[in-house]
Order: sequence, then structure tokens, then C-alpha cells
Amino acid sequence: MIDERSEQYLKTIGQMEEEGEQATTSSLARSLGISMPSVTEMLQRLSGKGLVHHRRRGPVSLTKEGQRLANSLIRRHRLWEAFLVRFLGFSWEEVHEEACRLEHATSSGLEERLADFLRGLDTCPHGHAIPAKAGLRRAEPAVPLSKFPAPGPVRVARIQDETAQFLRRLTRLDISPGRVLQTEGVSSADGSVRVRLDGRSHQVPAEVAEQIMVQPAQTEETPADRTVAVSELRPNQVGIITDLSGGRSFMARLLALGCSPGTEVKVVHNSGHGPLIVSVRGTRIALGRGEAERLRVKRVDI
Amino acid sequence: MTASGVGRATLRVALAGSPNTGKSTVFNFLTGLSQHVGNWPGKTVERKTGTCQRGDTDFFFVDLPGSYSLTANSLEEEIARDYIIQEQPDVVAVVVDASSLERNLYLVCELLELGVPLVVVLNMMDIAGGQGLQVDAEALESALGVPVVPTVAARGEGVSELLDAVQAVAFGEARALVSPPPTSAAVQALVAGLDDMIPPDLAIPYPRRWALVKLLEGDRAIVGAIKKALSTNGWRGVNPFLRLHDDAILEIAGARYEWVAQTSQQVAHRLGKERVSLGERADRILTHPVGGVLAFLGVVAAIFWAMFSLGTPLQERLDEWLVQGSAERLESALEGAPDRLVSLLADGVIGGAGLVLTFVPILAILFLALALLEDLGYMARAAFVMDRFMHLIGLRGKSFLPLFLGFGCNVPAILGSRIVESRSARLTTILVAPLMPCAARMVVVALFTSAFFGGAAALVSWSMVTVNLVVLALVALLLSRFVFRGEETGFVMELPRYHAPNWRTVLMATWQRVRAFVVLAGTAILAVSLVVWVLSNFPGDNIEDSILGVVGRGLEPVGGLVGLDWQMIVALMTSFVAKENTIATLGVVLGVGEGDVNLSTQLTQVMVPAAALAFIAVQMLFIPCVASVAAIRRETQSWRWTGFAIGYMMGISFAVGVIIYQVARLMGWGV
Repeated sequence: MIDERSEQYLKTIGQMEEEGEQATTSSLARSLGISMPSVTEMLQRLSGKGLVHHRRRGPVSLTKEGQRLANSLIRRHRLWEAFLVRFLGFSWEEVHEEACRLEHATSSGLEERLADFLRGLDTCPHGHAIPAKAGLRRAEPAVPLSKFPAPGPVRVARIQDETAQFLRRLTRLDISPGRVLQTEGVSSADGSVRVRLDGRSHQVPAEVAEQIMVQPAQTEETPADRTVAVSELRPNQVGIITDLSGGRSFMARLLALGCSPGTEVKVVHNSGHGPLIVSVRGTRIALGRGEAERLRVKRVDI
Repeated sequence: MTASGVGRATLRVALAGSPNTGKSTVFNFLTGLSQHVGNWPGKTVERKTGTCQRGDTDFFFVDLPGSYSLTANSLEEEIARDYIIQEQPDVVAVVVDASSLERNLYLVCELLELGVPLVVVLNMMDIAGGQGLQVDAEALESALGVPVVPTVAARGEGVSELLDAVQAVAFGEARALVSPPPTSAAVQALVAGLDDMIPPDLAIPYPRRWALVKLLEGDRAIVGAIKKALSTNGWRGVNPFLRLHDDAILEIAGARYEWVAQTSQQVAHRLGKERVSLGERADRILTHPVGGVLAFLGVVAAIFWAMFSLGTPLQERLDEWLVQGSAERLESALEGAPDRLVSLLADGVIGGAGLVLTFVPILAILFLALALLEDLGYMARAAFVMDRFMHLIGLRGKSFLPLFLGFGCNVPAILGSRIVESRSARLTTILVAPLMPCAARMVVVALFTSAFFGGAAALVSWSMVTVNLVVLALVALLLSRFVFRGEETGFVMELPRYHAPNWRTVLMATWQRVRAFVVLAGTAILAVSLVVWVLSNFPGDNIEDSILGVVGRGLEPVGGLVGLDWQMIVALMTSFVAKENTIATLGVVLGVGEGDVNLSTQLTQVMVPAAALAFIAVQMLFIPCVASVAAIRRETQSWRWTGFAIGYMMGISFAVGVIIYQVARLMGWGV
């Protein structure tokens, strides 16, 4: 088959195409951290094998065969990442390297079983869609945070730089796929982006913002849409249960008492500390504070 | 169905239902005094059975522990559902609170899924009516496909119709148009997936499809059973599937609730606006962090007052007539008989047994009060209000009441721990209850402190009580931290609606508890009384040469560390029977009458203050009296825990005694 380095190239080009970018010799060189001549040489070899279309100093694209290989690699990579995080307790920082090693050692049989097993999971921990067997599809349109026309609310879609070091920075900033941030402005001095998250402001450096792909958030999150824990509601406030967390026996107890998702919960008594009393389906239930913190509701203003 | 004798059939009926649906009231009405209360084999959960007859049919009722669902979230629920599935009663009668239909129908839904012969008892129809809720029993019957019997169990209405329905179902005369609620397609797919993975001949004591659904729900017991029955490889295939779909329970429960909501809408109609009930207004105070605590303390004070101002005179009266009167009559009847025999019968037997009986008035009042509060619905509020504090020492709110009762006597404190639902909290409560300074111990403390510390007597007494309570808190904390780690299922508790107490239920419960105490304590105390009598009266004529005395003297070197000589040690040993015995024994040992004055003087001549202090401490923390031990044994169903309780208390009392004695000596009280 082909060697690891070639696979690496194919994968990178595939990812760029996924983002709707046109791969060029220079963008590849930058992305892989390799000199242009080496890139050119490699591309010629790949072209010779019928995996890429390449013209000198022109755009690079994958042939059908190249696409197939790239897709398979990317798919394996993301399947492994998803599996490691979900089932083996890895953090999102640790999995990229592991997946990079595993993707080259995965047969198509293993890939299929992994995909079957993970039925239901469709993104990797960094927000990228796991491609189907058929092929890579265009990723949902998103722009780097550095290019987003601030101010405005954005949702983090995916992270391009999957190295451990980078992700650790993001973890410190509490930025991950799905998070909604308020962008407030781009600094003209150094291109860093001011964002607001959980009520706190952060200055995100330009080179970090470049790797965070965002989409405009639909509407500004109003207090009524956000989910809160029941423990945060005041007496006489009503919420609709969105989810329960915290172990099966806890969930089972709550469910048996009537607290299923979609049910209305009214807080009868909440003194801010100690247990609460809520009313669910006409029954009054006392909940310990820890338990109330694990029951999330969407506030409903009557 | 078993036919016992020509023409007579015995039907076994299981009474199921959520707590607070009036299930016990129904049970009491059906079975009356034929009730038998015991424990489920090997477990500390109450098992009530009873019988009744109608015409040619005998009914045998089993009152299952209250359960909200058929998932084994608690020991009670596990017992209830295992009985239904494995014992296969002829009919399951599920009691439903008509005024809380939506919540109660969940269990009915599960029972319909299980496919057992079912009768629905639509209870508390009067309360529903009072709330402006009209529930159409016939419509419910059509919707469910099983007989629905409206009842007001508190008044005995509908009970006869219930028996009719049970017979009809058991003999196959009832309509068999049971319509089990549908499961969603998604869940069916998951079950099919599991079905493929699990070999068809799996050996588990549950119906297969039902068990697979429970597996998806994560039912602890069933997961365990299936895991055991599968090979390791088999489980390795199933487990990740379950973990991937660990929110299947939400889907499954959600589907059931949809069915419940639809059914409720069809059969229950609200006439008029929902009024703020009296109970809700009461709750504003009773669950208030400050008001609630005050109210609770008030209630407890009232109980105490009743116990000791009403109960004590009765107790004294009983003591006079029954115990001493019998002893005197016995002595005169046995005039001329050998002294030993008379003493055995009078002091040993009557003295011991009499002790138990004199407790009855106090305890009866206590049990009555507890049963009343529980039936009223107040106990849940008390638990709620006290939970915050009890949590600090690793217990739950409900533990407070039995522990507080330990101030009067440890035995009801231990027996009363049943109201604590969480197994670990219940065990902890039982194990620390004997540390509560009971009245009997306080009598001894009073004697010693007034003899040795004069004016400072009250202060010293109070300090010793505090020592006990501190030790109690520490032991509770240690137990919950290290022994019962991770057994907490969290505080989730229903606050039932208040309703007027049903006197039948209350009195029945009281009677059961009093009877339990008399039998338990009676046998224990009697047995040990006799043993102690023998040990202290043989072989010599005075106590010094008796077996007890010899043992006491043998233990003197150990006692020396605590400043106690053999006489004190002997007194301690007899306190095992009952703490009050200490005084009587001291009297005998020191050769004085029981008149306090003489005894006090003698004590001061025989002991140093430091030793007295140590003795009080040891006495307070020493192994519980035999009645308490018997109670612990009964409530834990385990000699291991009983032994642990005895052991740890002996250890602590000794350690604390040594510390206090040595420190007191250093402080110059050794003279």
C-alpha cells in the first residue's frame, strides 16, 4: 500500500477540501510544516500513483482514488477519537496523537465494526463530522473566529488544531464545540479577539482564534431558553425538565416519582441551601440540594 | 390457586402500590387482627400478612412494601417486585390514590407490561372528590382492561367489591382484555438488539422480554443477575451496548408517562379551580428552615411530655402492683421454701420480667405518637426539616426522631430506626442509638454527681451528656465515611398529602410495635436476669465470693486503669441487664440499703472523684443494656453488626474512661 507520509498528505488535502478550501503547494507546506520543494516532490509522486491532480504551482486536488483513501483515513481517525473519549475516558487533548497512530493500523474490517459500535455518535471530540463510508461531505459552513465580523454571538463548531498543546489552551479558556460565545471585537493591534463567556471576558490571541471555527449563533440566548438546574429556581418558578444526570439509580428514582423529560416542575420551597421541595405531576417531592443540581430544566415564564 | 379441603379455595393476593396510597388501610380492613408481622427472610423490611374469609373462599393477603415502580431502586421495591414475579400470587391488587392518578399509574403501567392478573383499587375517592377531581372508575376499567374498584378504605367502602373482583380475576371470570401500553419503536429496536446478543436459554428468574427492558433501564438487580448468568465474553458484548444507550431509560420512562398522561386525561376531570389546601399552608411553616425546626422540636417536646408525665405514673403504678405486689404475694405463698428459690423467683424472674412490663406504658405512648404522626403525613416534613443538620454527621433527616427518643430509652430508638429508608443510614442510626444518654443512665449519673461534685453536679452531668453526643456524632461520621462509603442513593422523598389519621391503622401499628417490644425485650431481659442472678448468688453467700465477684476481682488490674475496683466492675456488669441495676448492685456490694443518702456516703468513701468521673463516662458509653442488644440484633438481622456494636462501645467506653481517669488524676482529683 502507500506509506504513512503519503497518507498524511492525502488526509490533509482531504480535510482542506472538507472545509471548502483549495489546497495549494504553499498552504500544504504551511499546514504540514514542511518546505515547499519537499511538498512538490511528494505531490509529484502522489500524482504518479494517481492519487492527486497536481500542476506546478497550481491547485492540488484529490482523484477519486485519492478521495477514497483520504476519506477512509479521516474516518478512521475520527472514529478512534470518538471511541477513546467516549468509552476509554481519554480527554480530547490526548486523543489526536493516539488516533494518528491508530488510523494507519486500522483495517477496513476494524473500521466497520468501530463504526457500527459507535452508531449514534457522529462527530469527533473536536467537532468534526465523522464521514460516512461513502465519502467526505462538505463540512457545515463556518469561519475562523479571527475572521468573524464581531460583535455578535457565535457557536463553536469545530477546532482545526488538534494538538494537545493547543487544546490545553482551549480547555483553560473553556472553549469547546457547542459553546456559545459573545464576540465583542477584534483588536487592530494584534488581531486578538475579545470574547465573553459565562459572564467573563477573554482576549483570544489571533493564532488561537484562527483555529477555532465558528458559526453565528441563531439567536441570543435568553434566560428563558437556557437550561438551569432546579436548584437555581426560586419558589413559584416553573421549569420543564430537559435532562437528568448522575447515575442510573438516581435517574430511576426520579423517573418513578414522575420527573421525566418534558414534565413541568414547580419549585415550592427553596431557601438557597439545604433540600428543596418541588411539585411534579401533582405530587410534592423533597430533593436534596445535590440531587436538585443534577436535574436540569428550561425555565418557563408563566 | 390451592384448594384446601373440599370446596374451599385459598387465594393468595399481593397488595402492591406506592407509599401513601392507603394500602395499609386497605390491608387492615381486609385482615383485621389476623395480621402477622414479621420480616422478609433475611432482611430488615417488615412483612405483613393476613387472612380473611368470604363464603367458600379463603384469602391470604401479603402487604408488599410500598414501591413507586418495579425497578429495584430500593430494597423495598426489590422485595415487592421479586415477590410478584417469583412467588406468582393468584392476584395482584394494586392500590392507587385517585387524587394523584398521574403519578400512581406509572406502577400500574409496569404491572400491565408484566402481564400479571391484576385488580386496580382506586382508593381515596373521597379525597379526590374533596379536591374537585372526578375520577371515572368505569372509564379507567375500559382503558386498562382490568377490573377497577373504587374504594374509600378509611371508611371500609368498596372492600367487599374488591373481594368480588379478586375472585373474578382469580377464577378467570373477569374480562381479559388487558391492553398493555405500547413501547416506542426505538425501544423495541434496542430490545431486539439485546435479544440477539443474549443466548435464548439464559437462566434468570425473570420473564425474558421484561428483563431485557429492565436491563436497558439499568435495574441493578437484573443487571447483576444477567451478568452472572452470561459468560464473561457474553457480558463484554452486552455491556458497551448498554453504556452506549444509557439514556434508554429516559425513552422508556417517557413512553410510559405518555400513556399515563393520556389515560389520566380520559378518566379524570377537574371540576372547579384547584384550591390551596390547608396542608399547603401548613407546609409553609412546617418546612420553613426556622419555623419547621421549631415546630419539630415542639412536637418532640410534646411527645416527651406525654411519655413521661402520662407514662411514668402508669409505670410506677405497674411497678407497685404488678412487680412488687407479685413478689410479695409469691414470698408469702412460698413461706418456708428455701431462700434461694424464693430469691430466684422473686428477684430473678419477677424482677426481670417486671422490668420489661413497666416499660410498656411509656413505650406505648411513644409508638402511638409515632404512628399518628406518620399517618398524618407529618413525619416526611420532619425528615425534610432535620435533614440539613443530620447530613452533617452522615445521617438523614429521618434519623433524628428515633435518636431523640433515645433520651428516654434506647430500645424504641433502635426499633424506631425502621422509618429511615436508606439502608446505610438506617444501620448507622441503629449502631449509634445506644450512645444516646437514656433516662436509666441519667439516674446513675445523677446519683454520682450529687455524691461527688455537690454544687457542680449539674455541670458535670451536662458535660458527660455532651461527651456522649460528641462520641455519637463522631461514630456516625466515621461509619458513614468509611464503612458505608458510596451507598448513598441521595435524598429524594415524597411529601405525602396530609390527611386525617385513620385510627384503625394507627392503633394496629401501635399494637404491633408494643407486642414486638414485649416479646423481644421480655425474653432477652428475662434470660439475662436469671443468668446474672445465678452468677451473683453462687457459689458463696455473699456477692464477693460469687462467680460475678470472682470475675470482678479478676478484672481489677484492667479496672485499675480506669480507677475502678472489683465492686464497681461488678456493678458495671450487672448494668448489662438494665442500667438502673447499677444502683441496686452497688447497694448490695457496698452493704448498704438502697436509701440514697447512705449509698452516696459510702461511695465517696470508696472512690476518688477521678474514678467517679471515669465510672460515669464508662457507664454512659458502656455496652447497651440487653434489651437494646436484642433490639439491635432484631433490626439488623445480623450477629455481626450486633457484635460490632457491643465491641465498639466497649472499646470506646474503656478508652474514654482511661483518658478521663488519667487526666482527672493529673488535675488533682485523684485524692
